[in-house]
Amino acid sequence: MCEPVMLCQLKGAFIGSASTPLLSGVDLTIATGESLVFHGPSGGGKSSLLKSLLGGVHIFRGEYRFRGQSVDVRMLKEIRQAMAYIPQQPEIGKEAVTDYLQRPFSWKVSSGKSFNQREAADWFDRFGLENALLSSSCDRLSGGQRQRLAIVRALMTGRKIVLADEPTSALDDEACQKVVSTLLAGEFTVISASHDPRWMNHCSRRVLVAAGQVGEGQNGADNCKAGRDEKVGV
Amino acid sequence: MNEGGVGLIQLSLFYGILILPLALLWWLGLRQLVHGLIVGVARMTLQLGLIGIYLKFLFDQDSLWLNVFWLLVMVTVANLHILTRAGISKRHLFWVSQFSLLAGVGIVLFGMILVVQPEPWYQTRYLIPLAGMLLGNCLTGNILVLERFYSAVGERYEQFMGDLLLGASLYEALQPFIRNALQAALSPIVATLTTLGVVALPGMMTGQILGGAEPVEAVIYQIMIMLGIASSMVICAVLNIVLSIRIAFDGYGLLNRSVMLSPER
Repeated sequence: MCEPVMLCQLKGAFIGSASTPLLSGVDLTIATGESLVFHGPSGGGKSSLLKSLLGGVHIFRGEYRFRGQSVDVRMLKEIRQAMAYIPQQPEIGKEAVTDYLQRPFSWKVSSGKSFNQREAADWFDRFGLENALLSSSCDRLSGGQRQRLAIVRALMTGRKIVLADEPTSALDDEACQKVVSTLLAGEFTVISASHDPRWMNHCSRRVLVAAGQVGEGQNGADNCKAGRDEKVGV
Repeated sequence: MNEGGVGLIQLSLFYGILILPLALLWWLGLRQLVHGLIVGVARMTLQLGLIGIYLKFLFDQDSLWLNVFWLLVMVTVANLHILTRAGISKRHLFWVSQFSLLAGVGIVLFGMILVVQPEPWYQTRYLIPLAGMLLGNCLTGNILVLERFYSAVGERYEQFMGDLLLGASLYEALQPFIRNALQAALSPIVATLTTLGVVALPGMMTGQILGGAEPVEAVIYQIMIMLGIASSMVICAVLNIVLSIRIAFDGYGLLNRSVMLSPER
């Protein structure tokens, strides 16, 4: 059984900008505890849809409710602090790995929390990253290592809702398995965008995001059947 | 003509020195650069000639309002040049940049007037050349800071989004970009301060010495100018970048891309 506690709800949402809308009339309800994946062709808008839930892309018409409250600019802070965002291809630059991991702890959001090197090392073990990388610089890391580093950084915030954009795209099978078994084991509510079957097959709910598709609203209670496919309108 | 002075006839003859560089460029097949150099020299001559006449007029008048008007013209021209070269939309950031320049140059100029104590305080002979020195140096600093900052945010937008969407405030997410841009824009002046007098003799000091001033007096002026230049560069650059963020990013913390045009190099 899944708890039908509504987390995010889009009603007739238009995403992008009025002059160039990326998605039109999106109806979607996401419940706490779900592991949902937006899939579909590249450029179809799945990444934008994901970002729009964090205010990273504008929702210029329609309604977005988060935990039952209508979202406006003032609520963005709360939303961004509630969810852990994992970017698609983390561009990190040349900074030291520990600096990259520590930066979120210097933000106001994390006041009171401090960076724990041991915790970072534990996460590194869990995702098959060598501990020696902690004293390396980010530009020496491979694509797969950077991707896992971004996941570690997001999880170190301690948040239980994860928004992941193509979290396994640069990973080999072994690393992918480790990420899947950590993120999709039920501990986290996961909202993701992916076209990787190794990830999609383990998500409890699949939503197709593709040009020309008509939106189909679903209510939370129906969405727990594994592998169920829905369409989101464009 | 006193000893060491340059007359108009001598100056016109000195234009002949250009034959050498022009011949070299021509020989290397850089026809466009030859054309560019000729046009550049012509413009420089015309502009400096006109400004010489205008400055003489300003000096004769020595009027507060005329000076203020001329200062505003200088700041506006500098501002337009900065925004064009940095590839930033004038429609969005003109006033922010104008304010930053006025504040950065104004504060330092005020300090300089307190030190020099000209009589009257707005005496054109001091006010206009000092403002010109400050503005000229703020020009490069501000072009660099805006160009670096906005092109870096544009190129590494996903990195910025990664921080912003993870809960950083707008300024927290932009902090690495702000630091990099300021570092790039201000390290040349730091390098200049470090080597000044050893590697290069500053133009103003050289001009003063050639004009007959005592070296010690020229050095004192030069030190004051360098302190002023460094201070106004930092103030202008920091104000410009911090204030522009309020205009260029919306309530969501997202960059309004229409702020960025392509920079002119």
